[in-house]
Amino acid sequence: MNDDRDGELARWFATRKSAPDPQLFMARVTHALESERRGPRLPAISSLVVMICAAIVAAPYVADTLLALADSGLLAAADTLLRIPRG
Amino acid sequence: LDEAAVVTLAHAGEASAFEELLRRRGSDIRGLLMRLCRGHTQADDLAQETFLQAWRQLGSLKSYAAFGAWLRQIAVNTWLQVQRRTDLLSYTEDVPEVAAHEHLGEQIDLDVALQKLPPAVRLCVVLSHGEGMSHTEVASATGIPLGTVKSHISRGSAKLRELLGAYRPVEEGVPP
Repeated sequence: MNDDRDGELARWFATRKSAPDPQLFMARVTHALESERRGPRLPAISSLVVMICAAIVAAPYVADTLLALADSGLLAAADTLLRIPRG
Repeated sequence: LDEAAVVTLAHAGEASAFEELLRRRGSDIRGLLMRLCRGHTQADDLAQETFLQAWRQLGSLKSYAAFGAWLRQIAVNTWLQVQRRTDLLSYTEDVPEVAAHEHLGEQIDLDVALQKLPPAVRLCVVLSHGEGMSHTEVASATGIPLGTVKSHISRGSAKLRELLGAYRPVEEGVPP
């Protein structure tokens, strides 16, 4: 039993049941549930995207560096060093 | 379709079934939390969290027919967690004194009157009068001792009547 002997407070509560913008709330929670269901795939996908973007941005610099190394003969020197048998 | 059947489908992983439960129960849960929270934004945040928790924990639901009560308990727990985090929940016996006609002429309604109650008192009053729960059920749902629940409801109800008294119709013979 609750304390509302004459039901006055229950009537107050009953007349103010509705919450505003039900569609907006539905859309919001549905979106959150979809994200929940997708789970950890999202971070994996975003990491992959970041890696691809980084590779695209860095590619010209890497190519330039390799060409410069080749020009200076360092690549040939390194290649020679790697071929020295280790005792 | 019977709610228990919809819950069964949702339990089996049917996303559209859970969205149907959201459609059916969304308004009730938001209404409950709007009375407990200080603003619609926080209430909607907690309502969203309630449904996300429900989705995650649906496997632990023992009786599909008890989905409504189970969901309401998640909502109350979510609210209590926020209260504990912000250290606002105290089992004080003191209801602050507020003049009944303090905001006469402004748009006062039940939600505003509820905000004048301390959080623990508000929780007990909302669950009792708003959700129709017995004192024992309120004590069980909130973890507040039964005697304290009775005291909170009694004093909180008296304060609400006092605050809402200004809105009684003129035909009762009480001038506004």
